[in-house]
Amino acid sequence: LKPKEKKKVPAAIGKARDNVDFADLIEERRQLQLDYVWIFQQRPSLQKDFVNKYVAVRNKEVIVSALDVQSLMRRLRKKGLRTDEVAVEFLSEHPVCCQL
Amino acid sequence: LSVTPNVVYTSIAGHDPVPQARIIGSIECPRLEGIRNVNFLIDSGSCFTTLLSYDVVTLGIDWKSLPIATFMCRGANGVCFRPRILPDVKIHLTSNVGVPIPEVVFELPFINVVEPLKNLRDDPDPYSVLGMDVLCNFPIWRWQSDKLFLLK
Repeated sequence: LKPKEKKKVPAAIGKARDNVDFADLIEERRQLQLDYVWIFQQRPSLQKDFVNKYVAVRNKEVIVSALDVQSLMRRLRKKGLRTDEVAVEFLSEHPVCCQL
Repeated sequence: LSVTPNVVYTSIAGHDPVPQARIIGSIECPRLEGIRNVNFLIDSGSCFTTLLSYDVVTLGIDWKSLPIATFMCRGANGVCFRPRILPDVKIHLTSNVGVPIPEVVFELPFINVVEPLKNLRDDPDPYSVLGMDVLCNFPIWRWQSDKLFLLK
């Protein structure tokens, strides 16, 4: 029996962002914040279409939905996007209350 | 120095809506490629900023290679565990005052990383928690209508 080759795990997935312009970074976060607010406002109607799914929103539009994180990452990657570039929310059937 | 998290409400049947304050930050550390955005829940009950399952998976953090903390943490459910340690982290937040320097950066010796659950659907919410290691820099917290202001 040959010993199984150990898969090398990358330190990080996604493209690197060198020489980041802080103005761009701030604008990106501002846009994300707006998209999260939009998800919150639209949650009842989104829940009807995407119940128990992850939705990824960009510019107030659902661009990807998926049942699990791996599918979400795969579909976003196909569009050339990372998960942290879009607003992502899991639309659970029942509201979840945080206990911290 | 001031930041304004985004406040969302969770409504559970028969109960008043519960506000949750979240803020988009960016994290930077030698173990990550580039600067990555994270949706943080403001958590005054957490001593340390902690990356939870969703972010550990989607940021592609090789958590198995991270050192295990020498201290114990107690989660909200009362269970004690040892988190992993992500060293030398910078957290970027947007400051709403001081226009010439709108970016505030907190340099932390480490943040915690939890081992992601095998089934992410058991903890599907895509956010991590911003703990008191960052929040202690904002001694004034003010709730005004639907907004939370963290001020210095």
